[in-house]
Amino acid sequence: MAQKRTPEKSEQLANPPPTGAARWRNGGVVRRHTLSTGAVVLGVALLAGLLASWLFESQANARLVNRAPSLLRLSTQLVSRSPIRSEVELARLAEEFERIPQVRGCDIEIRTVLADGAVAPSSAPAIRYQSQPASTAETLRLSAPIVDAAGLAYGNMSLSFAAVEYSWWDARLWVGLTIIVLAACVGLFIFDRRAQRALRPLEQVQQNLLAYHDGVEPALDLLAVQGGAGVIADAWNTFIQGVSELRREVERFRCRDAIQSAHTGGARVSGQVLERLPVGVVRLDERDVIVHANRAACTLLTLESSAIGSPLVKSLRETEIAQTLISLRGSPCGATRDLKIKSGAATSVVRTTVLSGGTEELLLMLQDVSQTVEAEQARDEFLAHITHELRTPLTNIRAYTETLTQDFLDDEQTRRECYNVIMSETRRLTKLIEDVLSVSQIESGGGRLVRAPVRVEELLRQTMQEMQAAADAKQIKLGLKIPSKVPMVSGDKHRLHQVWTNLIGNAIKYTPEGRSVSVEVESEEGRLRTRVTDTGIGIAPEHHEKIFEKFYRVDDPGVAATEGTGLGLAITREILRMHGGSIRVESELGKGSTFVIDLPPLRSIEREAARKG
Amino acid sequence: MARIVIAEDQAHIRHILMMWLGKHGHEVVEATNGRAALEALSKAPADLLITDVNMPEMDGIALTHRAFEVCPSLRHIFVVTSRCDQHEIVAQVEAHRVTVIPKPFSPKQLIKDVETVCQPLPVASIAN
Repeated sequence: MAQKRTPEKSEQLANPPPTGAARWRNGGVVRRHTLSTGAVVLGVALLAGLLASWLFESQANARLVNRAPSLLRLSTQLVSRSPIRSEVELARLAEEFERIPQVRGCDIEIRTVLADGAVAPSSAPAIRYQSQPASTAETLRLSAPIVDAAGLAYGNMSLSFAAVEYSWWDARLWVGLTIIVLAACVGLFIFDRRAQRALRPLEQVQQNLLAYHDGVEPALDLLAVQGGAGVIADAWNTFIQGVSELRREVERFRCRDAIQSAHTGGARVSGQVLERLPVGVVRLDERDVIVHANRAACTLLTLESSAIGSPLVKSLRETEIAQTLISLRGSPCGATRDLKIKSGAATSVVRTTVLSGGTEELLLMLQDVSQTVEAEQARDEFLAHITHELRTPLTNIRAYTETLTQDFLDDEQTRRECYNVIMSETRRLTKLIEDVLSVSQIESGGGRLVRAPVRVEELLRQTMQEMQAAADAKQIKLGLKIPSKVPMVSGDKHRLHQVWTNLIGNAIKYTPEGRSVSVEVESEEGRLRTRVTDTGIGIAPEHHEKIFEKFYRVDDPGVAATEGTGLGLAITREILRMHGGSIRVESELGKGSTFVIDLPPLRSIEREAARKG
Repeated sequence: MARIVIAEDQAHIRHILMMWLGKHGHEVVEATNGRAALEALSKAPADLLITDVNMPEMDGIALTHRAFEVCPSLRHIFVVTSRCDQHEIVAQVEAHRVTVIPKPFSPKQLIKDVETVCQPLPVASIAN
């Protein structure tokens, strides 16, 4: 019936996580070790004490043996110098000696007493002092003669010393105590080990419970323990069997619950997803009553959420929209209809797609396609403009080429004119294609700037030089006014060249022959301002903003007579915007125009880099 | 030979049309916009009108709408256009007396069309 732990479980318990349970387990180990170690330490301490006292006594005895002769010599000198007249005086002196530590007895005899009262050396003892019988503790007895100033001995002195004694009784007591303590320790140690072994099942139970408390799945092992602790093991085993049964039961319930929640929860999740979809979904029943409309549908159709359950016709402000939606019943799946729905001042285009158009249910998907429609319209308009602009030079090229093949063209002058028109229209076509590509690049974000510090003076002079031929053809005087110090700008040299070419080119195009075009550069608070001034036909105020729109050309015979794609200024403004700059026009009809460009200065860090570079 | 009014703001196209029509013996009056063309039509009778659509002051569509009114002798109008919405132009004009010709066009083909239109009417139709 006993089950062994599997290695994995043992490992799990051998390396438990640092939890409260683990701390308690470690505490148990420390307690057991303290008990065993304590007994050993106590025994060692007793032995050490015994050894130390024995060593101390040996040392004390050795010191006494060294000290005793000199003490005796000093004592005899003291006696010989003292005027001793009676035994009473001798006894008083001897008592002084007896007060010396370790002196246990004193025997002094004076043989002769001199005439002046002092005791003189003699053969027979005249005065004697002898202390009480020597103590049993006496370990050393020394004697020495008492000599006078002349060096004659006139008495004798003996001193008894008692050393610190090494008592066999004392030793036995120590040894006995040590043996008793050691035996007690060994007994305790053995008892502790046996108790530990006996209580191990309890520890396992404790560990399992603590692990369970810490969230670790306990090892549900049955315990096989005999004796007193076996009762606990039996109780544990019964508990474990109960828990196992309970656990199986819980698992069965959990499976059943999971299957149920998969059904109900799935529906709930679908509902939540449907509600949060950016696409509107509306479901109408067979009587055109709104059964469901998600949040996006309510927003798109400007429906109140309380409208659910009401007929669609009554819920929508615009009945026409409701009728259009209802008319989609019977349409095939995937059929679409665009609705224009007003919401305040704005009108949005809502594309309605039929998901299910049966008689019982009408399920519609609604998408706000305003931006898409707007983009499509812009694209269509752009394409229409390009096609229109391409057709004009193509018409000329085709017509003049066809003319060159005709027999009626016998005049060389006309023939040359035809060639010139074909050439100029080809150039116009090329320019148009370049401009369209520029617009396309800029709008798609592909026309990123390759920024570097640009020397404006250099670039302007180069552009003016390139435009000189066009100006000369119309006898137009080109002038450049530029200060000696012009700040550099951070920009794309190629794009800025395009800006100035467009503006100076326009100025030359719209200025009648023989007049002038001037370019003026000034620096204001670090900003670089360029003015391109022509003396041409001028622009009426109502066109001042519109001329920067794509394909916009002023409805004027003078403009119509001048070649142009209608893209140049749009490109120019976009390039300047990308540079953080701006463009505006100051003009009066018939009095010429001035295009004013502002460009931000080079940042100090870039200026530094440009100077080093 | 027919008397033809040309309304076109593009000088090159106007010039080449005049050259071709002149070489083929037609009398041509040129106008740079719709208003000028309408004026020309009202001043002297014309057989044909060749007009562009996008023109300043008055466009070709408006001109077409008024041309037959101011010039009863007008037999046909050729609308030459580079616009993409030609079907809309057709819908706006009297289709049976107006032909829309997309640009780029062939001058040679235009002369043929002009001559077809300018042929004397059949006797039967005169009798009617």
